[in-house]
Amino acid sequence: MMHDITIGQFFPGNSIIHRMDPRMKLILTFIYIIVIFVCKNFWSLGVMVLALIIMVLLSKVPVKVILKSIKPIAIIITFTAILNIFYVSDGDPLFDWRFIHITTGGIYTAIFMIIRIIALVVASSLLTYTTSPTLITDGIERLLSPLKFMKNSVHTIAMMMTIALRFIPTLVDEFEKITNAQKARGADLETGTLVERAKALVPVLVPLFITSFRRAYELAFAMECRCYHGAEGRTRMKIMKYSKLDAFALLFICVVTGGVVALNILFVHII
Amino acid sequence: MSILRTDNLTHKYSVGTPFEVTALDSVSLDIEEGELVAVIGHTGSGKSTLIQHFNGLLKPSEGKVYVDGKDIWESKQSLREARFKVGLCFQYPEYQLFEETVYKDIAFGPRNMGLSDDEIDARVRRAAEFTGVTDEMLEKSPFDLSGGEKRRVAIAGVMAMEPKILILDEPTSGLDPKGRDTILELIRDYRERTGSTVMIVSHSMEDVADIATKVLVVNSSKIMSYDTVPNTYKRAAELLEVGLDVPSVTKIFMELHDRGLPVRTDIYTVEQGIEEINKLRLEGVNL
Amino acid sequence: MDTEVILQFKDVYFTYDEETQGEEPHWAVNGVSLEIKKGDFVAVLGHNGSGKSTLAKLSNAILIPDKGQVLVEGIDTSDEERTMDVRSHVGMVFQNPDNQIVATIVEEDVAFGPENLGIEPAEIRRRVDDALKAVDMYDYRDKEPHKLSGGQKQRVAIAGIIAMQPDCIVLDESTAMLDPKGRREVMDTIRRLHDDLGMAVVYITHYMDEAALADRVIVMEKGDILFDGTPLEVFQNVEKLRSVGLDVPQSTELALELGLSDKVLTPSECADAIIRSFK
Repeated sequence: MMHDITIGQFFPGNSIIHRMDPRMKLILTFIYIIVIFVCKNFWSLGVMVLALIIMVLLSKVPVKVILKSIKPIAIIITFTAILNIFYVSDGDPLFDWRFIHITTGGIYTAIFMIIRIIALVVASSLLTYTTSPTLITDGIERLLSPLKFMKNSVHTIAMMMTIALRFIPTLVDEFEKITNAQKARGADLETGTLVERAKALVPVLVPLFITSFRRAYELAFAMECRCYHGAEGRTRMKIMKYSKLDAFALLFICVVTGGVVALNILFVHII
Repeated sequence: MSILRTDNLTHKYSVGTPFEVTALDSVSLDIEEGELVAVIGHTGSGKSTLIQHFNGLLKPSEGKVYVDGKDIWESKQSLREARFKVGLCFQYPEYQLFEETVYKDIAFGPRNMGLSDDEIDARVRRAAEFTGVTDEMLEKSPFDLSGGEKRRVAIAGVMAMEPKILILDEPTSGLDPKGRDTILELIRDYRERTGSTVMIVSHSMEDVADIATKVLVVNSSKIMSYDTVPNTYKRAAELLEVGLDVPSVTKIFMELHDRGLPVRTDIYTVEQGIEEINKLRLEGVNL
Repeated sequence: MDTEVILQFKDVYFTYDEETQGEEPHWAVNGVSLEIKKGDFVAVLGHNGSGKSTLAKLSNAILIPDKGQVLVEGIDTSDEERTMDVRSHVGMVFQNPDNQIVATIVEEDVAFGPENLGIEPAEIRRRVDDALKAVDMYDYRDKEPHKLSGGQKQRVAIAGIIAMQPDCIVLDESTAMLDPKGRREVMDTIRRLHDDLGMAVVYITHYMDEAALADRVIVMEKGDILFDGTPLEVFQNVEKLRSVGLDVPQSTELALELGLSDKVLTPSECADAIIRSFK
């Protein structure tokens, strides 16, 4: 019953963000992440957040779905916030009791960091929501292809990623089947200490590894039968072409970056 | 005596999501001890879900499952008992072998039951005998065996638990005709010698028709029929209508009947077919 | 050489034994000679270990004969320089549908073969669309393979082969893991490819009812060809087939046992023969 697994977190659609060249999306996400660390104050960070909101709205991925991507990092966010609140001692004191000193500076830095982390995560999720995993690996392969000396290894890594993505659901399914089969033979996987439980997994993991090897062996045959011989002389069905859209997106991110730099200079250290 | 009973058993997957599906819809079923039941139904009919309820691998969304008269979800203890009373052998069971030797692998189930070493040894040897696993094979690594041998070792692993009900999901899939006959033969033999209840899930009606005593037809999450083999094949037209296969011989006799030859339509083996036609010949039937 | 011949086995021997120290090895394929011509539909039958899968693997240079020659369109499969040519002429579909799909999107998987052949993007696009239409999976082109049924996955695998436009497609027990519905889908697809596109098909199976649909049946036993003829001719040998661990279709068996016609393969042909005998 694993048929409803979706690989990665791709959210199919036809928005302008979806239609952008995956290479450009990779580049822009990369730039965005760098610039977010360049931001020095709330003004420049505000520009970045605004830019992100515009992109999210353009992607037509429901805000609810986007927010889901923040959930797994809630602990990191809380941890960072606490750390900043307690350890930053700039600004006016707000609360003072024995060793706990909370200052306005601490609160500001905490908020600043939280926004920064969320923007970071949302930006990279937006990439994975709007680009299929295959396109991402393809994009990386093609971006790095000018590096002639490592062309083959880039291709190999991209191929490996594609195959891994392809087989994750199959293996999850298989894991479930073997677990059930061993449970039916009385294997107890749910109770006991951590060590006992880890040991109890052996009857599941051994068959899983063995099947994976068999799958790998058969897949290698199948790939050879389809004339696979590495990157040499290989063409691709889907051509990646930069369009006006991509040029516009690049321009947009340049303007935003310019804005961020300007605001950084204009409002020095008003955290 | 009833050995396995379900009472309004309903199972839903992905409850509370837009993907919610009802895999079993209020199924009430009563299976007598000692039957050899063929379970048929196409992929997605709910038959796999049903058999996973018999030993408590799945928990009913609604309804009850009784093994040997006892509600299996009553307590932890009753669930554990059900796991051992109902032996479930999944499709392609050879892929769950993991031990260093065949002996150890067959002993995995009995060991989990907490039996004494002597009892485990006795059970492993009995199961090995049923499945034609030789002493020499017992000492080998399961991964050095042929496909058909692995399959028999895996079945032995479930038989060694000496369950009151043995359920096999597609035990012959992927095997050639000879391998298939060997497996079906040993299952028939096992039932005759132990008197246990056996259920075989199968797509191929031609295979199970000769050895089953009852046929359970599962279709669209419900029990379509549970009857003797001849009575089931009297309804061959209905089976075909819901996309299930019937033996070619049954198809032939349905057609003969439709074309006016006074033949029975509950024929499902070649031997029965020959007998029926020879009877007509003796009677001097003419068209 | 006859230009119509696509695949030719010339007295082929193959063994999996590595060192035999002067002893006669166990030949998995033991002196097989056969020809597959353009537009043939051949079923290869045999129990497990009869050498039928080895035969398949010899046909596209996955295995190279120890003795004898395998020629694909006149190219010797032992010529390593031309392995890719051989494989683009003879495509192969395997048993487990999960273990031959490479990409995470159906159409990208179908494109995999043509991409390896270095074909122009526009041409690949055309071939992929045609192949998906030919196996009736065009509507699923942007789906993820793991969400498909077994029969659908196998049809995608077949599309991946026909997009390479081979002259011959070899199916190595490609229905063994499927349910009856999936088997029917795959059989219908193969039959259509053969009838409409004129592709030569070598169909390895142990289901007799599937072999009955072929134009020619080859029965393998102990690495050698036991029978080679039309399904009707081959299925006459009920006893011999049983003795090598095979079956005959129930319809053929019933008709033969009743001493009726020897031209029966399907249930309705059998019913016809019985009706006639009562007139």
